[in-house]
Amino acid sequence: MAQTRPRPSLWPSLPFVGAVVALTLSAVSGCRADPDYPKQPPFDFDSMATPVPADFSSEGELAARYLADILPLYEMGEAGAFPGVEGVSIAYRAFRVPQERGAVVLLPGRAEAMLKYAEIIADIVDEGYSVFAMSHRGQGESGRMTEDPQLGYVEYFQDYVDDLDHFVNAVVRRSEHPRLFLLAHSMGGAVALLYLDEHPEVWSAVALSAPMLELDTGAFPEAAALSIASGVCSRGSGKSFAAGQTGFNANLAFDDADNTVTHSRARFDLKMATLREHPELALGGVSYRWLCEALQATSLVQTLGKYSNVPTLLFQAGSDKLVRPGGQNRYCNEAARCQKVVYGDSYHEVLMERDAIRNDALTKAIKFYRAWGG
Amino acid sequence: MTRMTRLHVSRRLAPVAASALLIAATPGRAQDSSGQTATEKTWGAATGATGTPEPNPDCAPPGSWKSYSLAAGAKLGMLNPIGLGAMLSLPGEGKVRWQIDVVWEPSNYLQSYSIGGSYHLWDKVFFAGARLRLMQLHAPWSRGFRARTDNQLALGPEIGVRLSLGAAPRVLPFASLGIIFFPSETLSLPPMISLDIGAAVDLVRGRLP
Repeated sequence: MAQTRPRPSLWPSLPFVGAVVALTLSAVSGCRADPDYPKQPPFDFDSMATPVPADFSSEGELAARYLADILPLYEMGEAGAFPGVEGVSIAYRAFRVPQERGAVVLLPGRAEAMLKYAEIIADIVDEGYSVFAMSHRGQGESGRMTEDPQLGYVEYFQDYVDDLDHFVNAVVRRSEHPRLFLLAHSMGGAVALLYLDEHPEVWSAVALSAPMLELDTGAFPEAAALSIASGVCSRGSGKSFAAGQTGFNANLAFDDADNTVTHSRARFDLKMATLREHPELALGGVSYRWLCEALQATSLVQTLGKYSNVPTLLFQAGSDKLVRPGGQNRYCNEAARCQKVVYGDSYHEVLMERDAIRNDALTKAIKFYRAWGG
Repeated sequence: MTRMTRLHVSRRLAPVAASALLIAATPGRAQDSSGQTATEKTWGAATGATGTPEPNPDCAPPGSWKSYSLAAGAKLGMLNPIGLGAMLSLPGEGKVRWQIDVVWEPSNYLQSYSIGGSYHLWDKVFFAGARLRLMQLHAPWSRGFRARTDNQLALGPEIGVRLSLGAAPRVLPFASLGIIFFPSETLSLPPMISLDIGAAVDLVRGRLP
């Protein structure tokens, strides 16, 4: 006679019960009211009635103009600094234009100094906009947080955003402006979009050059990079160069394979000459901590598009080797008023590229600002 | 009019389905011509028994699910440097061996509170399972902690080996490899990989009433 063995029925279903619980909990966590902004049609740049003078700076005359016009104008800017989060000194320069069309807040990318943007600043000021440039903590003209001044480090990515908030409130809005606009590059774009998510009312329009919304982790799959970096960060402060990262290479030449940022020899050479002359502005590779924070921050920023209704112009570099387009595409597809312009031949630094790319992007940015009241 | 964020069901289900498939793929209960399962033979041999296994807390009589053991342990990991936890083993019926654990993995950066369930495959040391985690992307006592984005539910499959050494108290050394998925609308983090080694020691063994 066969023996009947009682078998509990609950245990085999445990994983599935767990999965259902997980699904439910994950659906509940992180829920945020969806503003449901309808997607707006793109702005037609060719229909812009207001002409933009095509007299932006050019590569051919850059060397001569830089010393004669651009650098003197930059040095006339009001230089200042304020204590950012944890007291780190944040440097800025303000270029105030009488009868301004509006004010443009300029946020450089990672490792960049404000001085690198002197040419851009001159062009924007010529268009009748005041410019307020800020150097992110730990780079450029701002204070460092590590013993090695060339280590790209930040304790919390949110510190960049909080510094920007202080800059906007304590410096930019100290005087009245008809409109506020943003121009941000790469990491500055991620900082800008995080700030825009917190304070969308501040900005009339935003232009982003190759915003860092998804890092290119190179040979490392992103999951491996995140796991390794997070492991290092969980063990300590992460204040060491990440694998494959080194200090600033002052001998990098335009034709080197490591130049993956611009096709413009004139602008590349000017940047390197400036950094050789001002080595204190140079910054090397990234630390593990910066990598941990940047991977988390970019994974957050790319999901924020659906909450944005701020007019946003996004320049995507088709030959970018530093950031991947996926995050930009996701943000811009979901943002109601985001418009993407792709420069297929552009390396990462769209605003430091050859004239054909750089000046087209700048023209579009100015037109975009004007379309939104600037 | 506002509405709650919609679920991307297929995206959320992917890691869950992977975990479930891993569990479901484990071989079913198999008996040979003698009517014994492989585990009954193995455990019977381990206890010196032939034929009918003798009852003991590790190897309850066939048909029983009443024996259990509770162990406490610690681990070292690649993602989180340390972890502390407790594990409940349910070895009944001489065949099915489920283990359920709760683990806290503290650090000054990532933190994880998790509950895991695992099933020993083929009555051997190998196990496969799944883990549900509350991950904190910054430690809650740190300046950078922001609850809305730093508290993330995560889940994923886990495989590994877990041995059982010695007599009371038994030592259960283990090694495991897991993947952590973040099925979140507020974050688009890539999966993380966890690699751990550790050991647990039986503290309580007995039978349920």
